[in-house]
Amino acid sequence: MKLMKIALPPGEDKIEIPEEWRRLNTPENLIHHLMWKSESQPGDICFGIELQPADVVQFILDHTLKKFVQFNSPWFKEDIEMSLRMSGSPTTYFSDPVRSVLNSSEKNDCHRGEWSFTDGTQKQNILDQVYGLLPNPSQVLKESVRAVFEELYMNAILDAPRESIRAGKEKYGYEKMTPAKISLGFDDSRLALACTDPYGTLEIHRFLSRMNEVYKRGAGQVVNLVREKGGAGLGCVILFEHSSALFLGVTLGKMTTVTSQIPLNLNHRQRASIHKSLHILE
Amino acid sequence: MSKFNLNIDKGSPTWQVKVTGTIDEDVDFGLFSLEGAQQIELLLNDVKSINSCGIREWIKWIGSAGQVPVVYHECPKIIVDQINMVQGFLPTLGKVQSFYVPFYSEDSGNEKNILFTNGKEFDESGGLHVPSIKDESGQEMEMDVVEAKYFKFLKK
Repeated sequence: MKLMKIALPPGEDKIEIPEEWRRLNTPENLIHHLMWKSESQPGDICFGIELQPADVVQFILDHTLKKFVQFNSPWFKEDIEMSLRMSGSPTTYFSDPVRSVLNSSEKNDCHRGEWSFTDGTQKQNILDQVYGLLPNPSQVLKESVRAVFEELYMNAILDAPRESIRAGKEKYGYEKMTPAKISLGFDDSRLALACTDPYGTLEIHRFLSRMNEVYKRGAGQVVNLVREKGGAGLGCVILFEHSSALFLGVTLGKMTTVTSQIPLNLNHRQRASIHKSLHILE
Repeated sequence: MSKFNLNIDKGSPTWQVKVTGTIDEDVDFGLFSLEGAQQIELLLNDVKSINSCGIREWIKWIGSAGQVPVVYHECPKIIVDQINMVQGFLPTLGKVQSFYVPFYSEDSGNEKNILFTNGKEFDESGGLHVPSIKDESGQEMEMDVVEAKYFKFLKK
């Protein structure tokens, strides 16, 4: 077993593991312990130290990574365990993304709700139901849940079918297809909001390249003003900015499942200090 | 029940525009032409959400007014976030006259949105005069924003 790549913030060339990690479970010991216990291969997990979202995306693109986990995330251990689980059994994520991300068990089922939809008329009703289930629904939480919900929903009803038609794969909208689905779950500290569509048109490299473009050139420079309907090219960054971890899963031509992990019980400033992780399943 | 509403009062050369609700892929700004306005004052405190489609449509719509002064009033945080993130969301001749800042109490967990107004809590040069805000039990509340990021638009 070996420790995989470690990504440092730009301009730094020295790895300094925080003292608290040395005294408790140091990243090296924790990673080796978890990887030894797991039956799956570590794959290409990259561990970051205090990287900003733009740098996470850049690093993933530069090194063609599938998993990026940050040391100082409050869910560092959970993130690694989840990465290893998903590597060993990616179908689990696609069949039940919320339980998969939150590592839900029979004893402690984190799944709270699931809603199917085929068009925009159902959006407000589903959002109201999601809001009704939120634990301690602060303004901060509702703002992020709404922002993520809006982007996931819109992508499923507009962008995914459009991309499918553009690729010459499907001629029909949801009236002929399995409905899309939004699912919600939470535990004591994290909420997971997932959206699955039956098109499987997400091109992850293009998605990440788009994010990189937005971060590098600025949203105003890259916003797609020409397109009449569908995404403006900013939703990818909006999703990542509101998440503590983002999961992008696609089985091409069959299914796309995107899950946002949102922290609970934190205010805006506390959230801003969390360094984000990103996971890709193809 | 409509989730979006826009009302334009053209009673004077300065048009008063009130925007309410959700700005998303269903909004048709084409119904609300801004051509002919000599100045536009936008009241935004009742905007509930805006997604990426809405951001695009907003930029196109506000740009259609041409080179006229535009003033944004009572911007909620979601609008301030777009002003900071998306160049063009506040047009070239646009300025923010007032906006909301979230405050938070560590002790009670209370949240409040406090209106910052030009000339009072902030000035044209980007200077801030942060008021003292207390929660229900009299404890001091703090601004719940990353200041360098949230107030970035004031420095431009």
